[in-house]
Amino acid sequence: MRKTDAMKSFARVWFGLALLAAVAAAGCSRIAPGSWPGVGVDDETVWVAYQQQVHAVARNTGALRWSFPQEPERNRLFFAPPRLTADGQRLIVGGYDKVLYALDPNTGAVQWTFDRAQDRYIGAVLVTPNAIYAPNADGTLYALEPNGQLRWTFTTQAALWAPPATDGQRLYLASMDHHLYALDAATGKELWRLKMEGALTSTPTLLDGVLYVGELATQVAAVDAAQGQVLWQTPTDAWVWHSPTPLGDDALVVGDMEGQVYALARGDGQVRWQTEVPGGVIGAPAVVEDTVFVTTRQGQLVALDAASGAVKWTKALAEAAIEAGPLPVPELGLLVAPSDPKAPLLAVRSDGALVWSLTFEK
Amino acid sequence: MWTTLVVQPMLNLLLWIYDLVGNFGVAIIVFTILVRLVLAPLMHQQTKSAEAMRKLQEHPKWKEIQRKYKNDRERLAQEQMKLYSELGVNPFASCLPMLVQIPIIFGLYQAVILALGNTPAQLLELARLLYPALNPARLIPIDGQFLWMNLAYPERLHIPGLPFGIPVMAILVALTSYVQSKAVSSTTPSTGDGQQAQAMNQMMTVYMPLMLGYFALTFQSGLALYFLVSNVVMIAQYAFMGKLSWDDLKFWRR
Repeated sequence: MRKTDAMKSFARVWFGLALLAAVAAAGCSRIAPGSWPGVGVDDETVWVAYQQQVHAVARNTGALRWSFPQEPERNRLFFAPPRLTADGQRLIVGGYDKVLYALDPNTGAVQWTFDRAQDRYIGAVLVTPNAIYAPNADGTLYALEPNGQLRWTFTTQAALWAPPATDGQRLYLASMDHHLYALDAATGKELWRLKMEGALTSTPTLLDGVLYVGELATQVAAVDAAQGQVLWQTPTDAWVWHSPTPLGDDALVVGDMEGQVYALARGDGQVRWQTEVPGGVIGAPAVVEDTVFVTTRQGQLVALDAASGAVKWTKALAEAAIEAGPLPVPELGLLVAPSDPKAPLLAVRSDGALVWSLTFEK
Repeated sequence: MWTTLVVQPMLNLLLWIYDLVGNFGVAIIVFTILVRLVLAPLMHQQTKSAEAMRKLQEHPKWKEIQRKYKNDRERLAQEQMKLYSELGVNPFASCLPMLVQIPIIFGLYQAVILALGNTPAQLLELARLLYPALNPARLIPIDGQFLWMNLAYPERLHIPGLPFGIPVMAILVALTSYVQSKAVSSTTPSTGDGQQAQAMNQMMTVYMPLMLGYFALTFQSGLALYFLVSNVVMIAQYAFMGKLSWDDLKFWRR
């Protein structure tokens, strides 16, 4: 065979293979890889975990203090909200690299790591004065000493995407395996489990001995925390991804992924008001005084009247979707985290005016 | 449009099967076999057309124009087209069925990847594409455990005592891809320069298994399972049509 023919053949084969690989890669890239920004805050600093880095930002000005790692690394992704330990000495954040990191909150330096989990950390950890509870997508809740030593584990049948709630003695754990679990916080011993209608992606809201749970089964449920019995279930139009937010002394507010926002009576689950906002609601609403704030998948922040649900105003804050719920911060307003790598964190006043934004060139 | 017309129906069919059989690995196997059966008439047509082309290339007139116009490619192409028309052979008939299969295969591929989504963003995308009739609340999350594999992650078989995992699926995918490529190349007619086409076929039988083996090594093992089942079904189909010769599979044969 002539050399030129061989070269042509070779080129054609590689062209075909490259085309196949390109289409395959295009198929992969259509599917979003991770999650939305995870945000944590204390009196002086805001931490945001999004994609390849965790950033520490001055709370009042938005000035970037440090990033971990200092330069983005291909194999590290972070989406779980960072949490400060009770003594304020460590910032705990889990990664998609299956590693839980304890960072110096002032510098971002690694203090210790825990690498015994089998899967990603999607949800935040729960921090108590003497323990760290880390839910992992391998279905296991890892209870650690403050120094990172493993104390006990509790394994469910599917991924854990949210930290447990606690009353100090017990942990209440929501699992993607459609079960709600009550555990002894000291030993991890199961006290009861309750089969729910759908997967649970968020932490139960514990108020006066009752757990309120949003489900990927178009409903919100109330469960007696002592016995693990359902008290009421209220249907919604679509899945509820987040923890119900307390509204006053006797109500809750939730949003569903079709954009319906509901105020429910805590006693019996009756709908007090229902309002539609554009786009779906994924993150938990925030309540500040007489206003309910919700973020939407159309990049908006919507303010609703807490008493009636009437829309007070709508502000377009981002071109990207905002899946993380707004986070109220005293004396500042709200932190809003769009799913936008170029601007993953905004601080806005309670009238929607921008205070600062964390932006990146790339 | 692509998602609505191709990926979404396939995804929902896959999850409907999962709902019936209760195991996602089995669902992928059943789904792949179903798709391959639906595509079987096309494959049969492709093989028949390839056979017709092969016979045409043994025709004396074909050989004559190859010899006569070997230095004039344009004229050679014109004469070949005339001969196709005269003998009633459609040179594209063996390609068209293959082209029709490509979007189906990529749709299938995307459906498998979507169904195995195991992050919040992926679950949001999956939720958007599920038909309400499926009762998504009951199905989610998809249990990706099958044999020793988690179908949402690349596969390795860990044997006690061995410090590394063995990529069993990648090896099986590469092997079956080789067998399947050999079977295809043995039924594919050589157009144009015979030696050139033969060389291309030989390269395809080497690079295609390597590429699919690499995909199986690095992508979700659910996809590797799809490649494996798809290859096995195609090999069985070739064997059923009497097109598979063990002699053709000897890699040292030219």
